Amino acid sequence: MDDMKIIEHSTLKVPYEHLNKLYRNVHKTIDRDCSSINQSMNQIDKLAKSADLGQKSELLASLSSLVEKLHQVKKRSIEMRNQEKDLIEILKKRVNNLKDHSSSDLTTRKLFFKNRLDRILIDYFLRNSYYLSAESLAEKAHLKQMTNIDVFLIEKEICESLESRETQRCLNWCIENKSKLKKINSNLEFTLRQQEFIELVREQKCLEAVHHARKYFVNLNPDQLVDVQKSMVLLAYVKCSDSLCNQELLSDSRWTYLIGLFKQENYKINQIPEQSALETILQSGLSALKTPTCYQKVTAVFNHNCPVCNPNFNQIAKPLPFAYCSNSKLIDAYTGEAINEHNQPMMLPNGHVYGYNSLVKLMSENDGKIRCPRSKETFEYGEVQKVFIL
Amino acid sequence: MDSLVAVEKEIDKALDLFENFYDGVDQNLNKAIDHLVSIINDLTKIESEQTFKLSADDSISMCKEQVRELIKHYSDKHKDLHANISKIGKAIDKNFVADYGNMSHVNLIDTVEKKMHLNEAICEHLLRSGHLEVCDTLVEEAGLVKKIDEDKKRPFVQMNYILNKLKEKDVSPALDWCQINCQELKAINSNLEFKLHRLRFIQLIQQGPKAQLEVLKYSRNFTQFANDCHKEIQRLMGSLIYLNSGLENSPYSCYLGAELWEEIEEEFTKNACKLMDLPVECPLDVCINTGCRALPALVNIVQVMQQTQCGHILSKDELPIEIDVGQNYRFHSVFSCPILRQQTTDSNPPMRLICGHVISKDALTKLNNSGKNRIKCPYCPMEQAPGEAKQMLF
Repeated sequence: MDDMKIIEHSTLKVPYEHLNKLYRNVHKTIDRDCSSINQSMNQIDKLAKSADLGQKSELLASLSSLVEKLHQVKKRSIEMRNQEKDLIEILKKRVNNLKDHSSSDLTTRKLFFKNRLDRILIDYFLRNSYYLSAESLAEKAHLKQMTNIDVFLIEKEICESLESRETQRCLNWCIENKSKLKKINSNLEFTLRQQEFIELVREQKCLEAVHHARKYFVNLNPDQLVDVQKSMVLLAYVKCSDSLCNQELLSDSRWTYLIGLFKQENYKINQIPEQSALETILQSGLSALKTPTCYQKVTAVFNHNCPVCNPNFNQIAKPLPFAYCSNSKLIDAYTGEAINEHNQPMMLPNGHVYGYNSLVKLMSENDGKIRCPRSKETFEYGEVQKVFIL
Repeated sequence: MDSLVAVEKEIDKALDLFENFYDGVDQNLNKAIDHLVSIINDLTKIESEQTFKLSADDSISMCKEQVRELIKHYSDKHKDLHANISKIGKAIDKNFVADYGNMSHVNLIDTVEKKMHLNEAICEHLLRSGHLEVCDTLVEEAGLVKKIDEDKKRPFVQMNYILNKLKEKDVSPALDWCQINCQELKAINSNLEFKLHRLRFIQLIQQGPKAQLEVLKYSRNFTQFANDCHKEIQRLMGSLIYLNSGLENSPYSCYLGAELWEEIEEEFTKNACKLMDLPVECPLDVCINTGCRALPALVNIVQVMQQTQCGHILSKDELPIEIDVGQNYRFHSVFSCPILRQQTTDSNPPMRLICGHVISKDALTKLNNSGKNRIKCPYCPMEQAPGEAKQMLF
């Protein structure tokens, strides 16, 4: 298993789902066209069976219209051919792009990793609604084809409509994706209808609300039934006031919940993972780099280069587990070199430890005396004691 | 790699089949249209009643068969193609891991502050990699205006300008920068300026004999480096012999390599970051690289642990397995007590015994449980009092 298998699943699966969807639509069109041709043909057949010279022009007219129909079918089939071909080509391009991951050329590999980070960032931007940044980066890095921006732009439209308390767009989307939503037992459509009911009651259009309920609250499962009962209580109040039991149903947070639910279902349908790639990879990376030293205030050896010591990541990595280390791995606090059998550890009288190479360096910089870089005290070489690490 | 090959195989197969299908459809449609047109032409010419009836009946029945075949082919064959499309999907699912193998546990970024921290880190990355406009857009969209201001951006703007010029093989802005920061560069023992002069020198040599005087004049720039880099300067001056015939077929052809230019970009970035007190490599890059390295091993463990219901690995105090991050990414010392096999911390520091062996303070306390005030080193016969052990700081 390598990292590409783990990270790039949705890169390929999303265009695949697009292809699937297109295929289904194309097939519907084909079926329609076929049945219409069949109809015309049967009509012509009937005419021909009972034909006489007087009906010649009628027969000829029907034949001409059939020819016309076939021309149109041909035009449509060329269109659909191109559409299906384009989507398969997109898949192929992405596969080719991913091949660079194992390229033998170092420059190609480096470029692939750079592009991968850019793609991960674009995905993160899209999930957090930073649409302009995502488009800007995709353009600069020439990555538009490798990202799933179109899925998110559709999401953007619907989220904006939900934010302005409008449910129609989202309902249209639900109808469009009915079968897939059913497969994942989605509650989205029901929740939308429920919200419409609540809004009608809020505007005191109680009769309309009842009609609405009659029309849409059918075939409910037990949980949904309970929800409906709770909402029905609203009808009992003359005016929706601030009384306690109404609060939850009337609050704005329901709309926020709806937006979140929509996004969740959208990701599921499009085979986009729920957590962003950035967060997943960061979790693993930060955890693998996290040492207790990064969080100690007293003996903290603040290493400039350590990402976990960076103030931003320091906060983010707090709840993550530490890296596991079975054997001691020491580095020199002065030069960053590894301390091992080629660079033996030596302890100064103040307890600080450096590698032998560092001591040589320190002595050459300070007339044969050792000046501890951290405590600024000076020592002679004779005061240094050897340390044995097993 | 073979995962990609497997998916590509299915894609190519599907492409072929689609091509064949639509070619067939096109053919059938054309044939049908032609046939119908000829029937129309024939029937139009017929005037006699008898002939008309016979003709009409015959030709239309033939045509009916043809159209029926066409419809059947169109619909059925397209339905068959679905199998190939789903094979692509199955190949993807088989060769790739969905949902990051359930690595995600809780949300890493669950508060507004953490999001801001992450966005700041991303901005730093964008500035360092030269995407200044993207950074501006992100600052606006994410509301970071207060945190990332002009002062923070300015050094990056300059750095990116110089890097872009280096990409165009123009070293003068870089040289100007070196001269301005001469003192600081000397303090970090940088030989960036010399390398830049070297590249310019080689550029001039490549201009051939007409640039001879210019080349000689330019070599005066090496005087300041005479002490540190005299061997390299000797080599460079030696390459002048090939001024006429060009460096390509000379022993100095290595100077023409593109690696020198890539190396200088990296060298400049490293030096600029050091001067700006920034880490050598962008923290986000380091994290992502390490993360990608660690993911396969961690995903394996998650799969195993799911079967034993031990809880998610990210909810524990320590990762269950060791991840080799490579020597470059080791930033802190980690001392693991050989006796208790635990990492030392502030409250449990490493202690050096008189004999020079090191154990953790907890281990020291455990050795002293008999209360005798005399402990023996676990690794050698040396005995001592517990108080004689000295606390160490790596």
